[in-house]
Amino acid sequence: MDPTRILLSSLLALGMAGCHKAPPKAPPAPPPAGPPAVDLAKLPPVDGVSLAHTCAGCHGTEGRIKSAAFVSLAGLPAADLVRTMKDFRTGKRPSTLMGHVAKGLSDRDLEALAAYFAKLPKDAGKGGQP
Amino acid sequence: MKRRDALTLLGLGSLALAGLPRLGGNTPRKGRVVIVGGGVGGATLAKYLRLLDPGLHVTLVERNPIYIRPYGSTEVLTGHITMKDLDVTYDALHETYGVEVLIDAAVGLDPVKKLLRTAGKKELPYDRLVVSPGIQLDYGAIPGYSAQVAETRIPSGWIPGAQTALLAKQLQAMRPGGLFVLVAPPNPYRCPPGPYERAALVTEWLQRHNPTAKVIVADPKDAFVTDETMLLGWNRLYRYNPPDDYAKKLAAKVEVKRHSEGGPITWIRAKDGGKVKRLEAGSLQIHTEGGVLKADVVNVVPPMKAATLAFDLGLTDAAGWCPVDRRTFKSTKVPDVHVIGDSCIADAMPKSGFSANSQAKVAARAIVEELAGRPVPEPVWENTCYALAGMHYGLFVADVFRLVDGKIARTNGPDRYLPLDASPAQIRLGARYQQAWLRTFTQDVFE
Repeated sequence: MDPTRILLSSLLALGMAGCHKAPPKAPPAPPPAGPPAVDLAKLPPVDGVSLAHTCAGCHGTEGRIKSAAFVSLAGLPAADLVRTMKDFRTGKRPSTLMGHVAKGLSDRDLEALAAYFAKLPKDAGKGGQP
Repeated sequence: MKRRDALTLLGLGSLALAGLPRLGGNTPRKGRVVIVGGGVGGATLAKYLRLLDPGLHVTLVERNPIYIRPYGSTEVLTGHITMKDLDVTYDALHETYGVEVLIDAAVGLDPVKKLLRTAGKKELPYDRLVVSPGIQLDYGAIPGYSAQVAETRIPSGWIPGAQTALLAKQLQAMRPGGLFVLVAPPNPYRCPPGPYERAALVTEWLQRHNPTAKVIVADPKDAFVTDETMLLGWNRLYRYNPPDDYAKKLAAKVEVKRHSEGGPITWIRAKDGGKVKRLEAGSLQIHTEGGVLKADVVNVVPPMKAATLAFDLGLTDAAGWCPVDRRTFKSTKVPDVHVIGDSCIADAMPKSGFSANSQAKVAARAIVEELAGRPVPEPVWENTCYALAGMHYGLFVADVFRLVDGKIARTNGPDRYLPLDASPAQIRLGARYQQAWLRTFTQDVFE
């Protein structure tokens, strides 16, 4: 048998059995819990432009995207977007990650965001040409 | 030969590749912003500055005429895409957004006269300079490893390029039953789930093409971002048995299979001896604190710090990263200079393309408003890192951030990962979103 294979298989066996020799000094374990939760209501308001910018990485610059996977947000009625995000937040509407994002935004944020997208035309030619 | 060298030979090294007609003329300019570094941070910033204020004169200085995107580059290793698929041009930044793209390298700055000096002997005046230089790989931090070894024998490819292609070739030529070792980096580093996604995709590929091969991740850490969801994916896809403490935590929420015989992938944490002490490039022996691994192909993701340029321009702190005011990304070291992306200190934000994109937009708004004499808007940031445990097994970390007591803090609480009890349909959808994101994200940055 190839000696490297013997070394590998014995090493794997050791690793699996937890006999892999421990390092001389283990680094301290990271703190189990993160910082205390942020109270969104106590933070200053953010405007719709800045909020919309955070969506663009998936939903397109100025909320316009040609994608089968992600929804274009430009021109969506504000009430619809707010309701959808709130439903994502509570889990009433299932999501992959939008529920997590919605939990990081306040109701005020959702309203500012939705008002901004509602004003944008659905189609403005290529991107947001200056 | 690198593309840049080829251009230099052609005498184009310091010419603006994408000419100047749109910007040379009569339009009154409300300010000059010079950006150094055409990665995700710099490109996003250039585009968004021009979107927010078409009156600004924006110059992007970048050494390479073509950007090789790092996000998704692991798919080159498994042949899902080719190196060419990683190429992104600056054409749209120039043609659609009127950004002046200068193919040149920054070499120094005069903070008093507010001039950036380039290798091409240009002096670019600025009202604001934004540096988005990315990371450098500290090859020398692991004894036996070096840039030369990385280029010839043990590639890294964490900054994608020739090393990515070399690693793909090595993997595809590995002997049947060979051992692939991925040496994971210490914190902080670019793309936190990336090394584990790479190990997973390599394992998936090997199962099909080299089914007796093995994969070991040697890690100087005991945990990583997305660890529970990633290890659960390995458990389901690759007969991986998570360490007992993880198995216990996972089993409280979801069924974890106990495989009588372990699968092809092994994660050796710091506490199990995973920290690498030195490498032998000739014999491909990896000396860890727990023993010696005799590998057939090795991929090292070295420790990282801010790119050399950040050091050269005097923007770094003792730890090798760039301190900034979080609201504006203004350097605390040099006036009128901002630093964004992987090289800056951004607290709870990971070093990711999504973070750099989000930071660029916050910096763009701060610059536009300040140059106009208005107050800086209240910032908000987001990050999503999609990662794959297999080509059809998607997971993620997603966070929203706000400024809290001068630091960047997460606001979405404990919910940030794929739920452990996610359905198979949600998991497949995550993978589909990951693939879609690679395209939509590139569009938001460059197009």
